[in-house]
Amino acid sequence: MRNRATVVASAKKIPRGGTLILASQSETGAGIAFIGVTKSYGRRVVVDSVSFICPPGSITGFLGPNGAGKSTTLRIAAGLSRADAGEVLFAGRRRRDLENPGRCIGFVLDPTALHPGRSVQETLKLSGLLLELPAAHIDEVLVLTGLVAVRRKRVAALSLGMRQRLVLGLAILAKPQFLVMDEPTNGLDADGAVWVRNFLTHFASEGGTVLLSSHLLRDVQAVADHIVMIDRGRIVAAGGVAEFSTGVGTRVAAAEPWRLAEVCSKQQWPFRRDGDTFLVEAPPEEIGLACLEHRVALIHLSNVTESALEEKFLALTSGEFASRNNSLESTA
Amino acid sequence: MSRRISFALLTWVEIRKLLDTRSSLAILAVLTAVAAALVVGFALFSQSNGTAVTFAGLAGSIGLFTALAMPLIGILGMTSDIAHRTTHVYYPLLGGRSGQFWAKVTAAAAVALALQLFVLLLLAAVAAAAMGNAAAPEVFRDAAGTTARGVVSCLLSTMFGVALAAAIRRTALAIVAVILVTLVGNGLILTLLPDASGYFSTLTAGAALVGGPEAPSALEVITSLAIWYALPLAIGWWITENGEA
Repeated sequence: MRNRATVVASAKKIPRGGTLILASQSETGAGIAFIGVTKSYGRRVVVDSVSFICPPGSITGFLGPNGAGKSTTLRIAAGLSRADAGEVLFAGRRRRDLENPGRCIGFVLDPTALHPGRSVQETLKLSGLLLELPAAHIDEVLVLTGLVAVRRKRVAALSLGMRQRLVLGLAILAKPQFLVMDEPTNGLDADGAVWVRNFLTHFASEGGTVLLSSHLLRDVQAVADHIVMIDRGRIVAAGGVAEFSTGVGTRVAAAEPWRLAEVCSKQQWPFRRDGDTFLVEAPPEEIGLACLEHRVALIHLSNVTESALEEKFLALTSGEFASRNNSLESTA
Repeated sequence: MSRRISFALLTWVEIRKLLDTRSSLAILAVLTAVAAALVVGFALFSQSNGTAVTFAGLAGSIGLFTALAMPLIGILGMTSDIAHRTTHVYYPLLGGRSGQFWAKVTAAAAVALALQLFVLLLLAAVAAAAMGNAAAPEVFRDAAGTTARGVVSCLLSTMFGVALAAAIRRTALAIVAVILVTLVGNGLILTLLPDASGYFSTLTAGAALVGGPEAPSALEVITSLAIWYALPLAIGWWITENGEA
């Protein structure tokens, strides 16, 4: 069964220098655990004591702005970069201690990191040979990823979307227990993106563990059970996706904003101004009815639950961007 | 629980990676064609000059080819994954990087050896065809020794390319380095350090194979092998183990 109830950590902003409390040791045993992972390039700390758990049977979304340290964290998990401190554990074991890591963990990292002169089939076959997989796995993956028609084509002749499918195919070739994916829907058409989402949901429902890094917040929100947000190398928030999606309310815009504020006050609905709109902690139906009653003309009314993650994401990182821009300006 | 990937399997995959693209096959085809042209050309030239065509003589005609072509196989084997960043695909599959590094070294040696054996067979065929009235023992005098020297010389040349490519990690730079060191560097060393050139020349180990009164000392051979083979290979291995992929 899919483990939706498990929460990695409380969904509050982690203070600078703070430590993310891991939920329980039993969870680290079967899932993916990042424990105090730190990486610096020169004096620049790119990943700073990153700790979180991806529970088994679930999808953990890994979010952060560009340069936040997401890809470096995943590179460390894949063994492409070496952490200065900390560990990444898969079912309680370091990747390099696994007998055959490629059979347990699938990585989707970079669709451009493929030999352009090699055919699609040969690319899959080489990994299959290394992992001693039956040939049937390759045919299965070719069908699953929709690459049958281009199996004999060279990688150089493939579009970015097709390359992304091939990288996905490589990741799932050995039917692994863990999937670590960096922007897996990048370059995919709508059908491809939906296929990835459905595949990941099915994979997790079968007990697999997924770490999904993406800047496409809606993609993450559509499938993730847990969210981990990173900025400037530090975890800034983490929690179950429900914690990011509830209690936000409704976005409302009125022709006469002060009258809308009066209605909210009368109804004792907490609200705050956000640009030209209000964020009101009440269901849209009730707001609509109350405004109709008070003859307040609304020009916008929407449930913001769907974009709550995005708002939280922007709220958590906007300050960082601002301070970063300020420091850049002062340097200039 | 699945077992570790064996070294034999890693080597087999690396051999396959050296041969599974159109460009790599084209390079091998060109090298084979060049070797064949050199051998046949030398045989025809010898015949036109009335010189006897022998197996050992033909083997000598492809010395420069071996010195320049075999390192190319080593370079391609060592730098292909780095050039195309396919390390991102293969490193995550493996527990460590050392096994794959040495598998690449072995695979390059195996492919180069296969090419060299093919060329030696070609030499034998051309020598037999050009034999005419000459006695077979004359034409194939010291064939076993010539073959053994050819094989060792091929391995030395391949490993020279492997070692430089392992340390330099850039295909084009490694090719330029091999050509410059082989054709220019050795000449410079001989000119600037006439008495100590045996220690620093890349040709010292090859010269030891020929033997004779001019053969280098064991210390010269060891020093040369350490400078041009062991050291760059060790640097390459260290970078592979500890560097960013």
